[in-house]
Amino acid sequence: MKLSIAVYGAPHSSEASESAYRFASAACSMGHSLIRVFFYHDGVHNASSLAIPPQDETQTTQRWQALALEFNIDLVVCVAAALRRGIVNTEEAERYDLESQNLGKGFEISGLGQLLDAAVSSERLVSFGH
Amino acid sequence: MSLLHTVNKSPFSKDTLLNCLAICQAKHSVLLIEDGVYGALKSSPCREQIEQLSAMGVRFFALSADVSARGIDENLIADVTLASDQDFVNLVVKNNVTQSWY
Repeated sequence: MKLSIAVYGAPHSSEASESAYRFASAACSMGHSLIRVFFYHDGVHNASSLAIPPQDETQTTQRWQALALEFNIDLVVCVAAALRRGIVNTEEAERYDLESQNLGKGFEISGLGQLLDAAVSSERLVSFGH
Repeated sequence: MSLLHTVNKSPFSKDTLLNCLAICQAKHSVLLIEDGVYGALKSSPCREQIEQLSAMGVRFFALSADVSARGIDENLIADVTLASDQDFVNLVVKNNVTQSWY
């Protein structure tokens, strides 16, 4: 079945991303087609390549990247939520003349329309709130 | 229409589960996740509602990993069934819509 996920919580401040990842991982291993994971509100922090959790803790960003690579999943970050929280790709960093970019590889910044598209093009959409 | 509710807040600190139960109908399922699993405790403030709804045909589940992480496996209401991550996926697939309460 075609599934999509929306994540609203940041790593380390809520369990949303942990729960979402476990659900995503289980769904993929069961043969379901996870089309898109949409990161919204504080969920955009999942996409930061500059977060360095201790080695014995969950490497949230890397874990999403590995899952997306293995199962060909869209990892989409809401642009408005991302910019106001300091999550930017090279394009946005140049546009706003910022010192650096920090969007992890495999993530893309796009509009809220991608959440609507995920809802329409998937058979199920599951939200993980903070 | 079959509906799956997920609830991630403890009923000891928020009204999230209570609000969810207020609109639950037969054929709905409720999956308690994260701190929501405290709602499945025998001492849960929602125990009476859960048992009444269960008798009406609402099914109740608690995410097993989240229950174990909190060490409350032995103190759960009999009407609540433990669910694995795979069971969570199956519940989402089986129900038409998933409503997340948080």
